[in-house]
Amino acid sequence: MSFYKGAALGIALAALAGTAQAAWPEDRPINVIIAYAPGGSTDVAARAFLPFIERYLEGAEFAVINRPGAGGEVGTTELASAKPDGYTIGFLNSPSFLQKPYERETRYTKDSFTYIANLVYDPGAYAVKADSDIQTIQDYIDWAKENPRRMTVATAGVGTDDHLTLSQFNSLADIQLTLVPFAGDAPSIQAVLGGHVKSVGLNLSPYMNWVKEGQLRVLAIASDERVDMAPDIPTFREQGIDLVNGSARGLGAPAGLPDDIVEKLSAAVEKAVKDPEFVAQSEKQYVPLRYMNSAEYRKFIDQQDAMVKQQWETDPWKK
Amino acid sequence: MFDPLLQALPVAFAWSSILAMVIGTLAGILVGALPGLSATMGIAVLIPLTFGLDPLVALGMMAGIYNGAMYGGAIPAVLLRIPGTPAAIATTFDGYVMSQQGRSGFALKVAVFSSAFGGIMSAIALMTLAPPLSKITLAFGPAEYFWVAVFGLASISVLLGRDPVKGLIAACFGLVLSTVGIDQVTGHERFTFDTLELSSGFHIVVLLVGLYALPPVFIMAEEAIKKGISAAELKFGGAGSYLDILRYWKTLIRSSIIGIIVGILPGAGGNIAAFLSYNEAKRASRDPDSFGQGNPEGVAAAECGNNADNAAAMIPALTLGVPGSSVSAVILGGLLVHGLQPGPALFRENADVVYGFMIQMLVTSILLIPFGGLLATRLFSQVLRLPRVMLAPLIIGLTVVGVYCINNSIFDLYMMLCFGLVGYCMEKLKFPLAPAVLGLILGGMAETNLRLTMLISGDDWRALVQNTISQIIIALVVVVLLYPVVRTLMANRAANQGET
Repeated sequence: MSFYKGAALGIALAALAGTAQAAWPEDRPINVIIAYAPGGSTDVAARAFLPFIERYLEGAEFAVINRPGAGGEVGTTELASAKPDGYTIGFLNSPSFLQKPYERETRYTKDSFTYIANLVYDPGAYAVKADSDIQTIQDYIDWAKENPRRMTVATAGVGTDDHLTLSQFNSLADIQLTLVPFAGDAPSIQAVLGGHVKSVGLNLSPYMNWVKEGQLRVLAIASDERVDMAPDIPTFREQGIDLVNGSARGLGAPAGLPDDIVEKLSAAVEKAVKDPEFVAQSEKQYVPLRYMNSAEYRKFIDQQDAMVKQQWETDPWKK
Repeated sequence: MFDPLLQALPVAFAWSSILAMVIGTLAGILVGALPGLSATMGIAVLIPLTFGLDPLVALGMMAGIYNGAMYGGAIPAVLLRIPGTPAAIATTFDGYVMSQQGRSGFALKVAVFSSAFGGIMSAIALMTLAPPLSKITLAFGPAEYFWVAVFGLASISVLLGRDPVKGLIAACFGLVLSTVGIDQVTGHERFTFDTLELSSGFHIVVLLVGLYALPPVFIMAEEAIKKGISAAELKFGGAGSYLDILRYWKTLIRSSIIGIIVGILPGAGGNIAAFLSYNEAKRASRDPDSFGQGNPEGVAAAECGNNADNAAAMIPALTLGVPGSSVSAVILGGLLVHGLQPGPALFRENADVVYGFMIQMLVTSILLIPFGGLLATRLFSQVLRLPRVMLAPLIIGLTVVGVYCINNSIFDLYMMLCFGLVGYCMEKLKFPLAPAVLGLILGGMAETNLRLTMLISGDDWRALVQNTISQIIIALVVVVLLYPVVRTLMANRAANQGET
């Protein structure tokens, strides 16, 4: 190969590489890893949201890949080990994925990811059946104090954010609640409506239908301030218990995603989250949106991780 | 009550809805007939495609896939003894024997008609009784679910066959498998050997395909080596009209009721409905020994039971947001995508969609008769014309695709192959397969609910027996367990009297 030919080839390749970099997303689909089974709440919400990002990110076409298993760990591991080229992104459910590295040796840490943007923040909340004698969170605490370990709380499982909220509630109010782990939100609510457990401790949004129907009474939410979707429900803080916890869902990618791609994605997510059609759809489905840009999301993850770490050291959710 | 139904009629019979139901039913039969592919997966794949569509068009397709797949599973169950879906296991007991007797045509006819009958009854229950029946779901807590699982385990005894010891070993194998994975109650990993993929336990379809679909393939390959290539003879005869099937009306009605009740209970799906229906039909029969020997009534009971589960499983899903089966969970996801929140409000605010969907569940059940009976059955029965050496690799290909699709996981494929070898050995040693599958399904259900009951009651054992529903189910368990003993005693007494 002559020098000129070689040089020409080199220039052509460089030009190609240059356009490839500038043209993200080019003509191939962006894989979106969802660490939960198709039809589940994370999956449904993700599939409903992705078309709105496509609307604001020119040329983007998403292909959803469900990789369920091990409470989300299988899919999260796959996301962490993918190439950070912008063609593999995924949904991260925190604090759930942050808890795994404390429980066992995982093939990822919180630093294995690029945090693109947060979408949803759903605060923890405690509720009882509407015909219960317990009217306020103070009644609830009083009853729990008089009857140690007899206050049963249906939750969506061991080691979930519900479990963390319950442990914190226990230590802040000096009570002993009994965690009853069901296989998800719906069976937990069914158990309290059927009178099989005394209370339920999930996040706020799964209750909303039943609150509107007058079948559940939410006593307090673990949010720093009252939320738009239920402005009548007081926070724990208002009632003297400094309990703030909840689950968040955001968009992440493998660590080392180029900044320009992060910015493009984050900007598209911001526009999508503010899209009136999407806002209306989320309100209807009681999905509490809370957009955070890449830097804010990263800071938020660090805070959640610190909280998880402290919990693991003082009162681990798996013994 | 019938006002909203009448109002929903025009939307349910719009041309787009009819087209959706037809496509859905055909797709469902296809998905059901392919081992490894299930209705759950078919609908999950469909959901993102339906974003832009009218909700009733989307739901029409889902209803079609749901009902179609429950029948479709019977086709390979009858022709090849490979259940297309977990719910079709009980169909193999008599269906495949009928096939070997050259009566596969009639077996499939019975399956189609019974599926449609069960589906229709179930849709009627959904239309008329949804709100009151949802109270039953609420009345079932962990203690009641524990007893339901025990009842299921007790009824395995009817399935044990001639060699109870081997049956019990198979059941224990299933129970052991059910302990693998993260324990729901403590969060600890059990028997996972630090393997990430094992921490969710074994997926029922992986076990099912391994145990049921692979051993026949191995045997086909074995025969091909021993006997060389031979075109299988097509024995598709065994006519019999739909009127003949009506003779089993008692079984059909009993199985429908069982299917509907199982459907309303979350956590118990079409597979349990089919097993229980089959067992009850066998128990109630004057000639229980003919079951498993090619009795069409066995096919009728199983297929009617699993389709009667369908619409009924939507009752708790629509009224409470608690899905009665994995398929109804995915349909629930589809509803959410269209902004329809389950709960009593759904019936008030989106009555046309909900009642339209109920009508679609009914119509797609009826559609099974023309599409399943005339089209699919004839088409699929051509499979029997294929020489076994060609059929075997085809089945392997289909099962590999199907099992891979469950979790997009290669690990699951290895597990399927392992179970295939286990199944082949069980087959050769004449161990029954069904108890193993039931053990996996029911073992976890029994264990988790027992421990939740203890957790709630603070280790007070009385909590297990203090509710009326628990007591009723316990009585049923006792009946099932004592029945064979009583029957033997009665038979002995009758024999003694005959002698004297």
